[in-house]
Amino acid sequence: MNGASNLRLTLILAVVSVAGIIGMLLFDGIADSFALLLAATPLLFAALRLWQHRSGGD
Amino acid sequence: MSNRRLFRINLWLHRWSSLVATPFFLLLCITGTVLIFHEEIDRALGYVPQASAHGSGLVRTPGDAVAAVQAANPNRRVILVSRDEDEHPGLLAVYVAPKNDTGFEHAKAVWVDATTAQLLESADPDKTPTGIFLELHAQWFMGPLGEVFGALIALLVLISLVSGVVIYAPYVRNIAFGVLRRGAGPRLLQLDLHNFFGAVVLGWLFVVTCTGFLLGFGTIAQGVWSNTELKALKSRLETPGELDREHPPIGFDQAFAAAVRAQPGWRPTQAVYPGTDLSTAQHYTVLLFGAKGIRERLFRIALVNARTGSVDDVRDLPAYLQAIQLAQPLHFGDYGGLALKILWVACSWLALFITGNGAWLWWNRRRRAESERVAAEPAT
Repeated sequence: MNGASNLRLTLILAVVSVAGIIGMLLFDGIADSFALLLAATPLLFAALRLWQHRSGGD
Repeated sequence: MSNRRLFRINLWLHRWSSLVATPFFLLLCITGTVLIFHEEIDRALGYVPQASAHGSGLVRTPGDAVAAVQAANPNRRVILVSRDEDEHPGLLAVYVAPKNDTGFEHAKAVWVDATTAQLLESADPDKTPTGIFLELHAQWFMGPLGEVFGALIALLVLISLVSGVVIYAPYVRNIAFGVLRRGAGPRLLQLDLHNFFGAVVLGWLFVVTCTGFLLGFGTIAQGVWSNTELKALKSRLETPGELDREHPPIGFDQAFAAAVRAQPGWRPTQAVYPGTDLSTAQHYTVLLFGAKGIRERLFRIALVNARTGSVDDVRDLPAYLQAIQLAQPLHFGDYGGLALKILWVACSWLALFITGNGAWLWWNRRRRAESERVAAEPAT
């Protein structure tokens, strides 16, 4: 992955997280759970990347 | 402006805005983590009053409950009644203030059982552990001035975030997202951790910082509303003749009922009594919340005539107050259950880490530069 893509990925993660945080406030029910997943996406993605690097991937 | 110059300006902004904000922001992260769980902590420590078990006791009206509070506080008057059936079923929080006060600074909450009109023992919220943490977090023990100081800290953190993204751009040209250079010295590892965790919590930090900035102007915004919109309402709606502020002809429960009749489907939670900074001399200001979605968080107000019980005005708050209202849950993360609270704690701790390790990176760089300078000096 090149530098521009890395920066884009960081910004996309931030936008997704903000959308999830605000979405949880706006919606109820199943949409609410989906919004929580969006809000947690950067943390989940980070955990996945750390695990990938530790096990020698990428 | 050349890219190099832009980078250097942002590096300077990131370094100094972060360093100035560091001690305060560390404290905010720690107190914020505790405040995320304030409901659970208060409950565990026994600070949340409980409705008494209703035996064969006489069932009383909500008006009787308020009268019982008034009788127990003869030197004060009731200025606000709050009812939250989700959090405190069967209870009323009745706020009493010195008789001549129109503001809420010296108000104290008295809990009362709405069914039996029995006054309940409860701790002063300002003296509970979470109350003290909240005062530190929101006001720095300085009252409304502390709120503005908090907004200033939020502004510094916001500058640090934006400048941080600008100086992060050249860094990620060379390092893949999530790579931690172990074995290349502590400085590079800490730099990678700083950038990686910073990228992870960027969105969350942006939300919490922007909302913190808005909340810093809460008291000021309330004052602006009181002196503009409410003032206009007062001149339009008030009629000649004094009203007995301590015993208005219409009780708060009747004001609630009138507001619901005017706005079916809305839930009244608070009634501000006539003659305060947030009501006219003759009207209750009743706060009405919607049933679901964003309306659960965004109340509108109904002005209920305390003489006649008529609803003389219903309106949404102006945009600046709505923004501050929405900023509260978005800042404290208490609107999505335990899962969201855990997410908030995780992000707070990561923010705590990058703040501390950012300061370490600055100190380490400074120390290295100093030792290099000493080594370069000719021996005397």
